[in-house]
Amino acid sequence: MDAIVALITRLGPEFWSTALYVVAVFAICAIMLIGSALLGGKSQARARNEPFESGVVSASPERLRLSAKFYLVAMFFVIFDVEALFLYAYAVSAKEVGWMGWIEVAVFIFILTASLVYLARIGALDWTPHQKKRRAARIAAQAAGKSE
Amino acid sequence: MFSWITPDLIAIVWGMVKAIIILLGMVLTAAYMIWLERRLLALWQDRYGPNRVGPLGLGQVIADMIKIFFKEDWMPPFADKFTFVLAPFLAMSLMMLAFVFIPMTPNWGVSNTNMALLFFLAIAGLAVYAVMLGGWASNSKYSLLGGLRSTAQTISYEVFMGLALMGVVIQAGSFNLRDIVAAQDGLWNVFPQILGFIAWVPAALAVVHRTPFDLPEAESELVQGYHTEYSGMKFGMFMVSEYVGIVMVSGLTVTLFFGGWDAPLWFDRIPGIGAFLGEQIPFVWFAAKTFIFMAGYILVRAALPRPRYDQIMSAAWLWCLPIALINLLITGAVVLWRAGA
Amino acid sequence: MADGTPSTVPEIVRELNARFGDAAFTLQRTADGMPTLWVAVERLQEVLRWLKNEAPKPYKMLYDLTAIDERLRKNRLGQPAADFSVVYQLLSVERDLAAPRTAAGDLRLKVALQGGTTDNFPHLPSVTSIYPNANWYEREVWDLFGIVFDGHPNLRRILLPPSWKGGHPLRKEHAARATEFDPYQLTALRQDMEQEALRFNPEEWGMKRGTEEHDFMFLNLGPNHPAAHGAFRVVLQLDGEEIVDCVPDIGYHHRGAEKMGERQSWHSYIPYTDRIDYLGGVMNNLPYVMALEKLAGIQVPERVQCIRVMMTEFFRITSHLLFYGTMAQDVGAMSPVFYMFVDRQKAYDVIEAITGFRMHPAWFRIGGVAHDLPKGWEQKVQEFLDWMPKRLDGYRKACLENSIVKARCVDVAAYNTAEALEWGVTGPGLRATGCDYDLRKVRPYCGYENYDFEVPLGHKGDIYDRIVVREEEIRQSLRIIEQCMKNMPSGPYKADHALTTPPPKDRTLNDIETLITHFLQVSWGPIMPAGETSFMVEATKGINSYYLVADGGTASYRTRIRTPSFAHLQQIPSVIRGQMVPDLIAYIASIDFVMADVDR
Repeated sequence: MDAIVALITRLGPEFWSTALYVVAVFAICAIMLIGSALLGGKSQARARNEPFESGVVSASPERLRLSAKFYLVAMFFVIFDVEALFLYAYAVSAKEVGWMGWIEVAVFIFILTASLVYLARIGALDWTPHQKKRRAARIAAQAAGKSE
Repeated sequence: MFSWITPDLIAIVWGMVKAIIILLGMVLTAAYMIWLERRLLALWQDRYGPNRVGPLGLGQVIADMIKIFFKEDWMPPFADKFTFVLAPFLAMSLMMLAFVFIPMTPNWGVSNTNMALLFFLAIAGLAVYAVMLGGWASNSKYSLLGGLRSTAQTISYEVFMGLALMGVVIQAGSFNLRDIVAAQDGLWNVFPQILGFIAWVPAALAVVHRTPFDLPEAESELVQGYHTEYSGMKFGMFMVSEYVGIVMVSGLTVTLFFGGWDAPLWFDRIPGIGAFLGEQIPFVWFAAKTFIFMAGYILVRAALPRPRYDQIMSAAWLWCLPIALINLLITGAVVLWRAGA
Repeated sequence: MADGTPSTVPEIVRELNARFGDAAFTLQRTADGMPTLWVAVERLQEVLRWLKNEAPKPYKMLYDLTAIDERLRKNRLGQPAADFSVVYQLLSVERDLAAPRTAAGDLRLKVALQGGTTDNFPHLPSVTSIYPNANWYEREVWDLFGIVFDGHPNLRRILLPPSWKGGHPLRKEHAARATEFDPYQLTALRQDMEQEALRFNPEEWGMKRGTEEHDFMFLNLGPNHPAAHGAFRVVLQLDGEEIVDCVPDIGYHHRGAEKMGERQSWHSYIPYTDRIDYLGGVMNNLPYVMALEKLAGIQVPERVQCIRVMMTEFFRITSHLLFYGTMAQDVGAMSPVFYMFVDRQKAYDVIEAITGFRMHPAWFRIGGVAHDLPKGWEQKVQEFLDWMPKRLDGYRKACLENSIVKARCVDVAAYNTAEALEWGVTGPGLRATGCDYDLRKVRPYCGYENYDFEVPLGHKGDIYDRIVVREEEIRQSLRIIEQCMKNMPSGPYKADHALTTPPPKDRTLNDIETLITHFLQVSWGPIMPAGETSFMVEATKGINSYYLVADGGTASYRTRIRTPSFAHLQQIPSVIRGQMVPDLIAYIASIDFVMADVDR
């Protein structure tokens, strides 16, 4: 008995309360899902097993090949988010690394911002067709202005 | 006979009891947040809201809960079954898990890890999977569009959300939320970290998909977005997770920017009752402040229209991200300068 | 022109005769005084092309296109022989604005067609290459009359389902009563068949299913969708959320209102008109009764005119308020619609106090209105006039000046005046482009010339301008109502005329003659003189008109309802291509249509 208690107490109250909290969270979610699965009624109807598409049958399959622009956006996110992680590490040790560290971070942020400005200027952050159109019109106007 | 009951063991059991109380209290708060929202919206919109079940309609939540338990647990035959169930499970459990880190009073709070803020950011990142998977697994077009939108939205706020909080971290020198609360003694972070707070507000709205960032479920556009095919309890879990998220993020906002359980406005210096107000009722202060932010969520929903998702993304990348970066640099410089290094 | 005969030959008729020769046209006299010319099928396209592109002050808008089954008509009134006639009504905004108050911009062309059996459809060339908005109108004529338009890009049914087997309903041989059909049964088999018939087939519309790199998503937005404003379907061809192309699909709300006109008495059809634009209430009665009054030669008393103006302006306010609220809701703002419904209830309280009904009073009568104003009506009206303006000021702050609303609406889904006219757009949607065309000013009816009000205009033609124009129209309507209230003339509420229905009491019950006349007029309905008539009003959503053919009976021979919403929906693809799904939602809201008004 004492051995078990010693084992338990060695991990401390915070571990156990956290562990219980986590288990309880999963238990609540599981009870909600299983409970309603057991308690809920069952019914049948003719058209209910179709995906909802405003009440008419679908014109094209639900699985599609999407255009590549979504992947481009995802790439920016991955790049910027990874770079943001370095700043997390800096933030927690800002006082320790002193002015030297601050300058390095300033340079890092400057480069990050510069690349953001670059992306914005080349139109990589234009998500909508009309933004793209407006940009294209501006570029065309500039080109026309230069050729004159 | 009870010699094995050591003070350590009692502390452990008491800690576990506290954890359960916190969890149940939070879930109950979230459930009553639904009632609160319906009543407040009704108040602001010249309506009554639920007022039939029990006094002030307080029983409505219970009635709805019983009803939803007995609703058919419909599984669309065209859906990807495992993922379809996983999505609401993730949505709800992750939002509840994130609450584990929030310290409510000097003594109450489940976990006190040094990595709390990082864990929160990780969970916020994971929570998006719930929406994405829900949208994808439904195998329905409106759900898919909702899933795509939530992905786009996540991409736009995820990057700056963490950075907006880093000013707070620099000031406290720690990811530990209790350290952060302690560092605000005297001056709440919202004042020195006003830029960080400005960037944090949209992220706080976006992380729980609330107006004006409710694009993934914009009902006037995408019917119900990612949960179009969900019904019964699985839909209910998505819905409750939103309110759990509101409670959790409101609590986090109070912890990070508004001094946690710290009494506001020198209440603790009032002669006579100052000591009582300042020291004895920390939970009241925490709850009151959290309530204000919860009500703020509802007010925002009542007041604002919904921008287009490209407008949100542009605002995120071109305004919030630079603000968060500038805030980081300024905070770093000020902290170093004041430390005299 | 009150007797229906043009006193002089209209300018446009002289111009047409000069250009194409006297022999090309046959002039028809109509009760509405609109220049009506019969033209040979062979010269139709040539004449229309000239009228649109080369004529001085050209006819840029194809206002309406419809047909008449002439085969059972007894009183042809000297018109060329025809089994079917196709009617083109053109509108020249320039001519109207150059000569206001003369209705100089109207022109009606008719084409006589022979043949009518189902294996020998009458046919004529399509004019879609001249007027793009002829597309839907020609489909409708094909759908309802079985007249083939050669060269039409996609001549398919529009109001009836593609699976419809019942022929072409507006033909005279088609049954008009439910008792003439077998009971309708929706079996599982039929349900499947009807569902399958609704499946969108991109190839039929010349659309690609994808490029080599990616697929397009074809998404049914409606008929069951929160933002479709009724049973309306738009099939979207999407690349991500960008709309590559779209096909609006209507007809889910079709009730055969025009066919019903052929079996209801002139009087008993009035309640049906209420349900055309179901938010417009008595606004719908107005063009119908005014057209009949022209035909019958009734001059209504001043008090009736003033009451009609006041009541229609009330409905303009309630309709615009609903637009305002749902517009805000469709861009994601939750609260405004609740406030505006409260205001609408206040307006309906006044309407109810006066008419006895709220949404569909059916309160106008041929030659007058149903009752006199009740005692104390001024007080109710005054209460509303006191209530509304400060609410509008609040909405302006909460909605119009909200930066998110502006971001969603400014420069989105814009079109210019030329495009608007090309697609037959009227009403606030036209005025938002800066075109100062309001029938209440250009062709004042009901004494609108006596009222002091302004016509709000936009300049960009975008969603935001459409909201601003309507918001300002509410304020102007309040001004008009106030003037009505302050200057309400005294006098009878019905015209003293034999065809006023129901007749004034002192014309009945005097002796056996008046009693019998009254009895017949009420039980069988009034007998209108044979002829053709029409009337256009500036309704809540644009220009609404009724074109009525009377054949000397108690019922209409042909009732044509030209509604603004039909034209506005046809314009959707040309405006929204290349924009995003949220823009489409905001654009649809800004059109302000109801499907009953589209499908009739």
